[in-house]
Amino acid sequence: MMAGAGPLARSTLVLAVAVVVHVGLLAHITPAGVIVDPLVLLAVAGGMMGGRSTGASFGGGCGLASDLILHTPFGMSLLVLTLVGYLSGAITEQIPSAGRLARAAIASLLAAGGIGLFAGAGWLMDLVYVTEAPIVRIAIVTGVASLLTNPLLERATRWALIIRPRMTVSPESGARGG
Amino acid sequence: MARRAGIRRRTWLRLALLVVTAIALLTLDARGSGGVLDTARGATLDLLGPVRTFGDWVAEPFRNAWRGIVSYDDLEAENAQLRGELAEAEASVLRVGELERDRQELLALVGARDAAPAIPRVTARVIDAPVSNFERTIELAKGRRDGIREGMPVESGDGLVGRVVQASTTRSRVELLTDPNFDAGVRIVRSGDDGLASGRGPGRDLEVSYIELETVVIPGETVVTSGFAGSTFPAGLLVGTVTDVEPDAVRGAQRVTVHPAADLERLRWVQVLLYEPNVPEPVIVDREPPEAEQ
Repeated sequence: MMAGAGPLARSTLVLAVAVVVHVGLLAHITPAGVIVDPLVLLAVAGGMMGGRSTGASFGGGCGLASDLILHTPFGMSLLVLTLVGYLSGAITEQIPSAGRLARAAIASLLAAGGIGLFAGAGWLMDLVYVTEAPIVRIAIVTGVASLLTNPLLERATRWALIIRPRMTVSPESGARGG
Repeated sequence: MARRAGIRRRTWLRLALLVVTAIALLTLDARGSGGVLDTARGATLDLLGPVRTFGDWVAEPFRNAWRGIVSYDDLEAENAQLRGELAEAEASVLRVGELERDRQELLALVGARDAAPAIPRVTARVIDAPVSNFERTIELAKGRRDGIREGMPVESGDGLVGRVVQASTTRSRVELLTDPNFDAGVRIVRSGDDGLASGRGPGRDLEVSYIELETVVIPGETVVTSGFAGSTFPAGLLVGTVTDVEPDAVRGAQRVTVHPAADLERLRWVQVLLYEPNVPEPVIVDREPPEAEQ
């Protein structure tokens, strides 16, 4: 049914599924006492798949969805995840030929960095409940979650943003998916 | 080359637009004029309510089993302690019942009206899973449909828990009394001195300010809400007990630390007091001099 839908409709569907999974499932599974936020992981994957421009928009969408379900100041997640999406795209553009494992490792670092950025924004806004949270533990668990789920999230964002697999030409076999 | 510059410009424009939008939303939210934002959040809370409830229902047996495994000894000790407290409470209920009957009879004898009628309450289940690592509120499975409104006090069986900060049709969010934004007028029961209790962050005790240097405050004393005019809390709700007292010579007052009576880490059921403060009506001054009326 969604095959003919545009990137906006597909992205909205992916974000809606992420929100439902977040509040219905991930809120109850807390490795090391940490809730994994799938919207942070999606913002990273969106940036890595779509580049800095699409990453900023997709990250913004993730941030807006996050702002609707959290009780942090409205706009804080929008600001942070827009930057996360943009930076993910910008960094990935510098290393276009990274393999699947390397991409997962980069995603992991970016997701952990996203948590740091969120904490930084919380510090600027003097939000004690953000700055006094166990930031390092949250960043590590989020990073590990990103490492494990990145292939799935890349697939989901590729579908949402209608990005064809990168075609690379090999001398022996012609075109193949990258 | 020109095409690449165009793409770069568009990217920067898009990023700037998103950042400006975020800052505008933050400003709206900070100024408290986020009516549309609150409505949107309330609608999302209602929309996701069934998902939250279902997730909680599925996860609860597993969570309880896990707690049972990792803290069996603690649970056993807690169970024994609760049995003792229950027996004491049952005896107290009988005594309080007798006292209440006496009070009502005396009121009837002197023809007086009960000055403090019972405040209606709504019992609500706490959704036992925050959605964020940076959560400062708890979510209740009841909302406006049940009479809950923003500002209403919330307590558990042990004492004050906080106040409602957001109420949608079927859900509400409660700001805990340990939140740095929380403050309430309180009274130290023994001395009768009033002060202002403020939250200092999750897991930390409250700080009560404006207690005069001359007032003798002893650790272990009970602190309740003072319920002064216009306060969002009625008088007499148990807040906690004094744990520490420090003179603050600079302010000319004492800094009293209070440990909350309610166990905020294990809230399963709470009661929302359907209490709305009696704000004094504005006095309308008649401009006409009394002679002119006559």
